[in-house]
Formats: sequence, C-alpha cells, structure tokens
Amino acid sequence: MSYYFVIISPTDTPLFELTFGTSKAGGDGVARFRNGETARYMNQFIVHAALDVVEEVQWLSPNMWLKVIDNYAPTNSHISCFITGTNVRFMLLHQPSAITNASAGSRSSTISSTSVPQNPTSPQTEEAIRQFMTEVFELWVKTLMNPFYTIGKPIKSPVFRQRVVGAGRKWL
Amino acid sequence: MGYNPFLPTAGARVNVLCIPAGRIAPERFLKFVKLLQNAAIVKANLVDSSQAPDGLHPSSKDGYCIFYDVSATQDAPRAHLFPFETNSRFQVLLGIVDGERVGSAVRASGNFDDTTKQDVLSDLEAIKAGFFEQVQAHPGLLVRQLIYCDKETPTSLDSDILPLTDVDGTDAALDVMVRVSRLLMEGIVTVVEDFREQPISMVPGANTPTFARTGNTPISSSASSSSTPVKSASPRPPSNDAEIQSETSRGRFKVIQGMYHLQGGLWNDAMDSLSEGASIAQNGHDHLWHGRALECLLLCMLLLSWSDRGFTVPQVCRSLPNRSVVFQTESSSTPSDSQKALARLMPPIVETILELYARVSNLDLGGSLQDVLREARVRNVNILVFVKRNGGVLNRECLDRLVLSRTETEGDSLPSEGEPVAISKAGLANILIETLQACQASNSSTHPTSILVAVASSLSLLGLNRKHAFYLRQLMQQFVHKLIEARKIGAAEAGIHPAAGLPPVNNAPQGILPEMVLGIRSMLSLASGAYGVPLPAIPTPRRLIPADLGDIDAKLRVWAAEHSSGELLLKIEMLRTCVGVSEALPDVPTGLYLASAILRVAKQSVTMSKQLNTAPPLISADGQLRLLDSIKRGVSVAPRLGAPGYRAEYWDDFLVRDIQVFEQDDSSKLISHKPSDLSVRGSGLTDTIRDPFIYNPFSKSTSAVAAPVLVAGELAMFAVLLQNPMEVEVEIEDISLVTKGCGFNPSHHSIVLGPLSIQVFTLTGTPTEDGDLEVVGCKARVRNCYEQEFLIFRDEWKPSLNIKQNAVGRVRHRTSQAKHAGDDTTRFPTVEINPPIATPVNLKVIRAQPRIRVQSNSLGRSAIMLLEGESRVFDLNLVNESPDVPADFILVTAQDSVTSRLKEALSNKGLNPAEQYEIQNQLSGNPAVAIRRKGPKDSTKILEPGKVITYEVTIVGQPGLVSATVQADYAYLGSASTEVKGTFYTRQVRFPIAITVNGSVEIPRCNILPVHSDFAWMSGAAPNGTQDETGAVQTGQTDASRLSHWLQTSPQASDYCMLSLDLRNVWPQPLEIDIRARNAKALSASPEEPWQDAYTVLEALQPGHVTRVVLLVPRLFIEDLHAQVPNLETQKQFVVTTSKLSAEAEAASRESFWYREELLKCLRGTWTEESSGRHGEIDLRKGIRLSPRMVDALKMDHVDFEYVLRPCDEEADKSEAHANTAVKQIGRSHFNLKPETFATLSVKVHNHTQDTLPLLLRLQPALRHQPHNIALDLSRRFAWSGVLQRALHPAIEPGGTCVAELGVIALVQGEYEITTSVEEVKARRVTGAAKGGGASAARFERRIWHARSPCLIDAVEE
Repeated sequence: MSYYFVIISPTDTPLFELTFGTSKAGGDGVARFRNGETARYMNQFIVHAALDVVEEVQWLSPNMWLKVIDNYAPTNSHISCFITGTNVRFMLLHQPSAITNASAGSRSSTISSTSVPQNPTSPQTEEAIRQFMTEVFELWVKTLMNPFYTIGKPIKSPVFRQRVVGAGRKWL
Repeated sequence: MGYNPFLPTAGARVNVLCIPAGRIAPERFLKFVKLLQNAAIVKANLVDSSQAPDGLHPSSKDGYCIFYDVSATQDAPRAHLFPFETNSRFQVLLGIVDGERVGSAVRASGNFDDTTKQDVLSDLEAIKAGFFEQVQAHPGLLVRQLIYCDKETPTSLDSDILPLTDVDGTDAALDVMVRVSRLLMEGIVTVVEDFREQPISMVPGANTPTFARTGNTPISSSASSSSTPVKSASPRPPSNDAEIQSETSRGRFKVIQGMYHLQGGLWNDAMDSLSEGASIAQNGHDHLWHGRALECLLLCMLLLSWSDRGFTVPQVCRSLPNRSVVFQTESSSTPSDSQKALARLMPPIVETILELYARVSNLDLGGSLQDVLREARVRNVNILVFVKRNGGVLNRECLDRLVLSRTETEGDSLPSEGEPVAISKAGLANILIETLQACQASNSSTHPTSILVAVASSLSLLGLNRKHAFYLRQLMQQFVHKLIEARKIGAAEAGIHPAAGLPPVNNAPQGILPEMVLGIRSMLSLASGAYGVPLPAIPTPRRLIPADLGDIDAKLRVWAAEHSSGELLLKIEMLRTCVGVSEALPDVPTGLYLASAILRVAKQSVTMSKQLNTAPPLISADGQLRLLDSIKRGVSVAPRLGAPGYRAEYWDDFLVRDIQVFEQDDSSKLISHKPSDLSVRGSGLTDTIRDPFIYNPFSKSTSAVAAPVLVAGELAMFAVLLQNPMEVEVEIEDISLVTKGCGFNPSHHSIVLGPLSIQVFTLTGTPTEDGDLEVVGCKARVRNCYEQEFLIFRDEWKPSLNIKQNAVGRVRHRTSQAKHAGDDTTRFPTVEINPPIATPVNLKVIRAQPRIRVQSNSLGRSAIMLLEGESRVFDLNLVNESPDVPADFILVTAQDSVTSRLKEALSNKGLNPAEQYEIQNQLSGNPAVAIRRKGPKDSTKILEPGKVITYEVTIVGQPGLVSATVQADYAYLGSASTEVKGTFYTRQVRFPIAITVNGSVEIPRCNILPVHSDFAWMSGAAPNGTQDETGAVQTGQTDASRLSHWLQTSPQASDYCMLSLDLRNVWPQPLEIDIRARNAKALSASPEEPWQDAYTVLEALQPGHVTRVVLLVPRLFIEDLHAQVPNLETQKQFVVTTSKLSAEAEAASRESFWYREELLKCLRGTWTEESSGRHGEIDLRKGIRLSPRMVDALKMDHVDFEYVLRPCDEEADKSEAHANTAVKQIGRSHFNLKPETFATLSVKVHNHTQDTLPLLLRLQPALRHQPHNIALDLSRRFAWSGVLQRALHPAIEPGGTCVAELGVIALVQGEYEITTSVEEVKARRVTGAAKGGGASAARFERRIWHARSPCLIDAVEE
C-alpha cells in the first residue's frame, strides 16, 4: 500500500505533505503509486476533490475521525480523513499495490484479505489509520504550541516530519 | 443547442432543426433562428383543438405547453434509438427561405407585375423541391415545413409555405410556431396510429434482434424503422398485419404514445398512456421500457405541477418495486397536495428508474444502448440535482428552473418555502461518478466526453466544486488530445502535414470563430476558476502597458488571493492544462496570457529581498523554460493565426526595485546653496573670502546627495536595480527611463537579467531643459512580451499576515465564476492587502553649467617643501572649458590642514580668552594660504567660455601644514546675485597641494629683565644725550659693553627693559637671523615698510645650537590694563565669560595678555639661509610667553613718582655746591643727606592716565631693613615738618604733574626710606569688566598707586 498524507488548512492550503509506503508485511516504506510520474499531482488532485465530501460528512458525525470518505476508482485510491476542531483536515490517501508481487504470490493471497497493506477497507486498516491519525494529531497539537510556528503556514519542522514518518512506520 | 440528453426535461421537448432553404446569408439565417427560438414555448390552447386528438376540451388546455428545441445544428454522431427516444433526432424540420434572395434579380428592377410574381413563385417552387429532395425523411420526422422570411408576405404564397415577417418579430414567430404546432399534432397522430397494433422491438435500430433477458415475449423486429411515415409521405404500406401485437408491444406502444403526448403538451393523456404502459412493462418485466415510462411519468408530473395543476399519482408510481414507501393519498387533485406527493415521490422514483436501467446494463445492442442509458441516468440524477441546488426543496421556483432549464441563480438565496425532498448530495455525486467511470467502456469516441461534461456540470450544480474542478481538469486534458487529433485530421483533409504548422484562419467564416473562441475562453476561465485562479477577459493587443497603480494593486490582490487559500501547485497544474488547451486550439492570446499568468502565480514572493535569498518559484526551472518557449512559439505564430500583435504580459510588475542617480565625479558634482550664501561673495567677480571666521558655505565638503541635481544638456547616469524572480534569464530587448516633468532624452539599452537575481544596471539619459524631473520608472520590452512601464517599488512588499483564520468558512469563488467571463470586477474575493507604494525619484534639473579646469603653470608638481615661516607664491589659472556656457560666479577659497586644526581647537569651549585670541589671531593674521587675484581688476564679471583667469597663491610654512587645497566654486547663475531666488548649485574644482614644513628657528625660552635705573648713577657720568640709538649693534662682547655703555649713559635707560631670547636652529643649515625691536611710538607705521628706528640683533645660528640674544625693548605703558581680551570672531555679539578664574587671576591674565600683545607689536624677526637663499619670518609669537615677573619688568605705571631732595637753605647750598654738599643724589631716588641738615623732599607725581586724578598723597618715612615696629619708631631719628598725608591740589591733569614738598631732617645717621603712595580721593566705579566679569558686577573702589621704589635717604657724615 502506498500512502499520501497531507494536512490541509481551513483555506485549503496544504500545510504538510508526506508520501510513504507501507512498512507492514515486509514493505520497505517506499511509495509506489500506480499513476507513476503524475502521482504527485494526481494524488493532490484526488485529495483536493475529496474535500468536498469532507465538508458534507463533517456535519454528520460528532467524531473527528471520519473514516474512509471518498475513493477514486481509476487508481483504486481511498481517502480517509481526520478533522480537527479548527477545521484542519488530515487527509490520507491510501492505494493498495497495483499487482500482487509475483514473488509474494501465493503467500500474500492467503493473508492479504485482512492485512493492512493489502486491503484498504478492512477494519484492521481502518483501525490502523485511526491510530496513525490520532498520533499525528498529538504531534500536530504540539507543533501548534510552538511559538515560532505561525498558524496557517506550512509546517517545516524536520522533527515533526520525522515523527510523522515514525507514526507511519508504526501503524501503517 | 439542439437536443440535450442531459436536460431534465429533455423527454418533453420537441426537437426542431432549422436549415437554410435556398440562398441565405448566415447572419440572416441566424437571426431568423433566433426569432423562432424566442417563440419556442407554445401554449397548447393556441393550437386548434380540432386538430388535437379527441378527449380534451379546449378550455382544459390552459397552461399546457409545447416546448420546442429550436436549433440550427444537430449532434450527428449520437446514437439514435428511434421509438425508444422519439426526439433525439429532429422531429420538425424547418427550411428557412430568405424572401430577399428569392427573385432578387427581379426585385432589383423595382416593378411588381405578374411576370415577376411568377418568377418568385417559380423560384419558390424550385426551393421547395430542392428542400424536400435534400432532406431524407427519417422515422421520427414529423413535420417538414418551409418558412418564408421577409419584410412582407407575398400575397400569392403557397399554402405549404409559412410566412414569417421579421417586422412583427416575436409575434410572427409565435404565429409560425403555432401553425407548426398544428402540423406537429397531425404528425403525432399519424405516427401514433402507425405504431398502433405494431410489434415494437425492445431496442430498435439494432441490426440483430436481441432480447432482454427478462423479456418473456419474443418480438419480431421486422418493422423497419425506415418505414415510419412522415407527414408528407404517403401512409406507411401495411406490412405483416397478421402478427398480433403482443402484450409487451402494447405496453411499449402505450409508452410511445405517452411520450408523443408529452411532447405535444397533452400531459394528462400522456399520464394515462404512460401509467398503463408502465404497468404493462412492470408486469412483463420489460425493465427498459418500464424505466422509460417511469421517467416520462415523472416528467409529466413535474410539468403538471409546474402548470399548477393537481394530478393523481398513478398507481404504478405509488407501488414502486423494492420500495416500501406507500402513498396514502389515493387521489390528490389540488396542486399543493400533488406537489407534496411529488416531492416525496421524486427520490424513490429516480432510484427506481436507475435501478431499472441498471438491470439492463449488460445488454449491449450495437453499443449505443448503454450510452443512451448512461445519458438517461445523468438526466434523471440532474432532476434531483436541480432540486438540491434549490436548497433541497421543491417549490415554484425550483420547478421553473427545472422546466425552463435555467441554471443560473440569482445569488445564494436561501431556500424559501417548499416541499422538502430528501436527497443526499454525496449519493448523487457517487451515482454521477460511477456513471462517468462506466462510460469508459463505450465504443463511441465522443460519448465519454459528453458524459464527462454533463457530470462535471452536475457536480458543479450540486456545489461540489472541488470534484467539479477535478473532472473539469480531466476534461481539459482530454480536450487537448482531442484537439490535436482533430487538427491532424483537419490537416490531412487540407493536404498539409500536421507538423507543417497550422493553416491560417483568416478565411474562416466570419462570426463563428470569435464565438467559438469566446466559448472556449469562458470554459477555460471556468476551469481555471475552479481551482481559484479565475481568468479575466483576455486583453486585446496593446502597444504599451502603461503603469497604473490600481492595475498593479489588482494584480497583487489576485496574487494574494491565490496564495492565501487553496493549493498553488494544483492551480498551476490546472493553468498548465489550460495552456495546453489553448495551444492545441490554437488560441494564441489565451495561451500567452495563461503562460504569463502561471509565471505570475508561481512567484513565491512578489518582491525579492535585497539581502536574503528569495525563495525560487514554485515551478521548476525547466518548467519555466518550457513556458517561455511556449510564449516564444505563440508570439512567433500569432500573426499567421490571425492574432497579430499579441504578446505575453510580463509577469513581474515589480521589475524595477530602485533607481538612483549615480554620484558624479568630484569635478562635476553639484553643491547646493541657499541664495543667502551669495552674500559672502563680494561685488567683484572672483573675490576670495578673507575673514576666516565668517561662515563660508562654499567650504563644505559634502554635496547634497539627498536631492540629486542634474544639469541640462549633460549626460546623467542612473543605477537601476532590477529583479528577476524567475530561474530563467530574462532578455530585455529595450529598456529606458520613464520620466515626468521637464524634457528628458533617455537612452535605450538592451540587457539580460540573470536568473533569480537582483541586479544593478546603468541607464543613462540627458535632460534637455531645466525644471523638475520625476523619474517614474522604466519602460521595458521583455522579449516576447508587451512593452510595459514599470514603477519603482523600493520597499519590499509582503502580504499581510492573517492571524486568525476563519475556521469553517472557506472562501468560495462559486458565485463569481457563474458570471460572464467578460466582467472581471467582482471575480476575486476581497483580500486585505496593503497596497504597494511606488517611490518615484524626484530630481531637479538646472540650466547648463560651465566647466572650469584649474591648472598651475608656475608650480610644477603640486607638492612643495617649506621651512617654518617661509612663504611661496605661485600662479593658478582657471580655464572655462565649456564651449558655450560662461561662468558668472567664481569663488576661490582655500582649505589647509592648519586652519582646520585651528578651527577644531577653537570649537573647544574650555579655552580661556587669551588662548582663543591667540588662535583667532593666527587664523586671521597668518593664514597658511592666501589667494590674490592677479592682474588688473577688469570690470567684466563673467568668465567667458575659453577664457582664463589667474590667481596668485601664497603658502606660508606653518607647523602642522601638510596639505592645502585651493578650490574654486563656480556656476552660471544667469542673473545678478541679488536676484537669485531659491537654491542654486555650484561646482567645485580643487587644486590640492601637498606640503612639507620643516622647522627653522625655535625659541625655547625667553625672559624680560628690568634695566636697573641706577646704571647711569653708578658710572657717575652725567647724561649727555649724544649717543646714537639707531645704529645697529653687532652682537658679541663688544656689543655687550656698548649696550652697557648705552645703558649707563642714556637718560631714558629706565624706560627700557631687556628681552633675552634663546634661539635654536633646528634646520641642518646655518641660519642668519635678524631680530628687531622698535620703540612703541613708531607703531603707527605700516607693517610692510622696514623698521628704521629699531634695535636690531643679527646673529648666525649654527645648526642645533642654542644662542641667546638680548634685546632692548621699551617699557610699555598700557592705559587700560583690564580691558577685555578681544574676540576676533565678530559674529559673536554677546560673550559670556565662562572662565572660572578668580577676579585677581583674571586681572593678571589680562594684564599679561595686553603687555604681550604690545610687546609683540614691537618685535620682528626674520631668518635667512645663506646657502639657498631661503628666508622667512621667525614666529616670535610662539616663543614669547610672559610671566607676572616679566610683566612687572615690562610695565610702566599709571602714576609715577620722582623724588628730589634739596638742602633747605638753597642759597648756602648753592654757594658751596661743590665743596660740601649737604645732599648728594647717588641714584635715581637715592640720596645722601648729612645728618642734622634741613632738606626738602619734593615728590613729583606724574599722571600718565587719561583721567584727571584728584589724589591723596601719603608719605611714610621709615627705617630701612628693620622690622615693622622698629622701623616706624622715628621720634629721635628722623623728623619732618608738614603732614605726611595730604591732598594734592589741584587735581592732576592727564599727563600733568604735581609736586609736594616735605621738610625733612635726619637726626642721626642711618638709612631711611620714605615710601610714597597716592590714593584717589573719590572712590570710582569699577566696572565688572575690570573685575573679569565676576558676579559683583560693579562696586566702588579707590585706586592706590605705590611708588615703584621708595625714596632712599642715607644719613651719613662725610
């Protein structure tokens, strides 16, 4: 599974972007998106389009964790969202690997139905993403409390990035 | 236009195609089509009821309408399934005949007779025949009709041809449409009759009959679709009538009938037919037709509701399959009830329709069925989308929009009253997106695109802007490919290689291309606006973009808005896609505009920082290069593509960051002056300034850089700071300064700006006249860009920081996008920005000025060596080099290191007055550099061009003199100096001289010694007064004796004192010195002439040796000892002494000061170096300092005493004068007196002052050399007759004397003295000045003078 994580401000400006791959089930943590070259833009476009759905969904549930809210079938991408009290959105685009690895072959077919890297809609995946989001939220709140950070500006802290990467490795 | 399958009410519309019949101009054709379009809604009650199918009364037709879709084009490649979709192809064909062109040749002749009418008729016949031949009849075609359009209707018009007079306009068109409607009704009847009793295949048009999986009845498809009759055709020949129409076919027939009734405005009939057909189809599991029937039923109900009619919801709608909704209201006849029912019914019925269509989703009849079904899905969803758009309520307004298919909204009005309809926005979006994804399987090349367009617009209507934007972008991307493909095909058709370039479009039909371009542009604007970068109207080509602060501000606002919200990368990507579209189109102006817009947006900061590194643009350098290439390409092909003159707009309004005038070199630097500065100059042309204390405004060394001044006619240089925020080089083909105010002739330059840099370039220009000049900025033409004026933005601009973000409210651009692309006034959200401030450079241009060069002919190198006191003179020439400008103001002044140091010392406030005077005296009396005009003073005050003026410069060697500068300030004022108003400017030429000063003669020590008054008495020689005082005395042993002799013999010896000077030669060569002292009485002589009557010392000083010389100097009398020390700086009028000295010390210092000044006036010294001939003055001032003791020796008292002691009996004394004198004078005031001899002591009091002095004389005899108490015990030793204290009467006149006598007798031998003093009788006012400015300003005091020496009397026996 490949992930594209972005924090989007209330004015739709991306504050933090991170692309990573799964670290579970022997994953090497490198993103491999299907749309190759255009992945960077396409992922952003897809996530941006999903914001419309967020605006719909956020009023339907009291939770900050909105679960999978949108998908984009052509690339089999799913988008999960976590919304903070200040309307900052944590969007995670997750895209299962394009083809089952030939070497992994039979083994993956047996275990993949519920594993996080393979099945984007399984409850296990959802739970993992929820944990990831919660952890990032904690990190994000800490970042906000930094007096040198201006609200609404991109987060450039390498520590934050490193910790988000760590959270990604831990849960996804 | 034409049939729009995505319109919610598409099924209820009659498809009308207008084609030209005969010859007609395009614009006229379009005009008539427009007329017909305006009359597209025909009230059913206008149509004659007799022609309508029975069962309806004319009165009940109120509110029913027939909707026509009048168009001139048809969507040709669309799939066409005739009976399933009755109106997807044109049903009514209207041939438009231009009456003006019919028989036009005849009409030109102007006579209307029968033959011409015949011609017209025959012409019409020909057109008619051609019209009916030309258009093939097809199954759905109901009406073919010619319409004769002209100003008037010919009387003899064939009944087959409908007249349309364009004078009446809409009324006539309506009339035509009503008549067409009647024909339509006939056609409908016919066609419905044809279908009756016919087997109807499930999907006609398919070559191989396939059946629905669920269909239970096999249906023959033998009924050829081509045999469907049209109005003019003969009734369809009866075919296999033997076949009995099956139940399914009957249901389908009912549906078809219902559809036609729906189109014909017979909505109630349609309801009946459709509900019957629907129930048959439902029972027969004919899902496709069931769905179709439900769709049309929904439409019927909407239309009925729209026309405010109650209706009964058919049973088939109330019991929908798989819907638990049960509608209680059996029959609702009132409009509001039925509307309520409709609102509840809408979502389930749409869902059911979609479900039914989905059931046949694997049915593929030649590929087109699914396309049609997908269109239907979108269409049905659109019904709900319209409702959702209306706030989710069904009301009148919403129905209006639905039926009249108005998409525009008037602002974001809150949903008003109405029936709520339960619709999920996301659900609708999902259906749309699923449909979109499914359409990729279609065989048709155009179908996915059309679905994409429809879905995107529906998403937009739903308010899902971002999703809308996403699909719009996809559409744009597809568009690029499609356009390129189309171009290739077009090129192949035109026989050109696609790579050979685009064919010129100049010969394209007028009117169509601009319209297309406009349409594409509004689409591009919509697309770019979807991501928050709205595209304003593309400006027409301009020669020059003038600098307009408002314009810049607006662009900056756009930039700020783009950067404040949303993601820039997406915006840029979208713009890039749009560029791709415009290039593929090709629409060069838009492409150019967008490319520059991308570059504009990509900047991360508007102004580049002069200190810090500026963040690079958001797009890579390659991307920027590609954009520039695309601009270059666009500009180069623009003329060939019918867009000549189009260029890109330069993307950076902040190109010019600073403009400064280059500091000019010293010789051409201008120095500003106030008019009052002219007053220091004398009346003459070239005076120099003598008084060093007068402030000389021309000696300022700094020029006024703050407001630089240019000179008319002289080239001025400007440093221009340009920024390039891009990572590519910017080639500026032509850049020049833009100025306002007086005439300026800028030079043009061509420069290349380095990537991502801020660089200084030099631009020049020549002001042509004097006045005020404002440099506004630069005019630059960047390669491939419009020429543009750039203002100067010196300060950095940053968007204001928005501290508190609105947490929920996203800035919506929605409403502004919906507006026409043309008006760009309200397109942008208002972002609060602080507008940038342009800072023009204000300059002053003065009239042409001369150029003066300074040179010296007599001084080879501008470096000289001097000994202290030596002076050197050289000539200095000023040459006016200007070819035509004279100089009428020249001021030559000098600056030197000594003067500046002295002035610095003067500024020290702690100086006591004497020191201050010393410095001031040196400044004014001994300037190091003196300048004098040489040659005769000519009356002319102007230095004409090419003329020379000469000065004589004298430099005096003074210690500390290392450099001096002669400077000439000059200008051409053009008027008398009194008339100069306002600031004027001068130029300065300087002639620097380096000077080395070596020491010559130093005076390490000096002393003043009194000459004892008794010299002469010692020798016993009588004064004879014959010796010479004038002869120069050679120093040496002999001289000392001669001096001694003179002293002893001269009666005035007591008027002199001795000045001893130690002189040291610090120069390594022997120096001859000559020091003179003259009598104070000769002071009046001018300083220049040699002193005649003076005491002179000549001495040769060996190097390094100290030689003492002794001079006789007269003792000095000074009237006012305590006069204030003068201050030579006359500008200071009120001087408050800041001295902290006591009054006594102050008095002493003043006394010392005045005596020193007097002494120095009497002295003069020169030195000569024999070997080299150098000569100079000895600075005695430096060497001579007076101590109080020396002052005492030097001074002469105000009141002087003289004693004479005579024996009392003068007669006797005279007789034995030489034998035995009782009294013998042995000194000036020293007498021998025989004891017990009566003598008279007369004290002569001289008054040297200028006042008349009434005095009190006091004489006090005393014993010499005794303590005080013993000294006064004289009773048995010394006696006197008279009073010791007496008034001298009368008062002594100035210069007068008074003699007082006292008889004395010494009783015993001894040494006596009589001290004498006088005191003023009256106390006189002592002013504060005498007291040195003490706090006690004035008090009364009696002055007392004591005799310098007492009268000494030695009482001795002979």
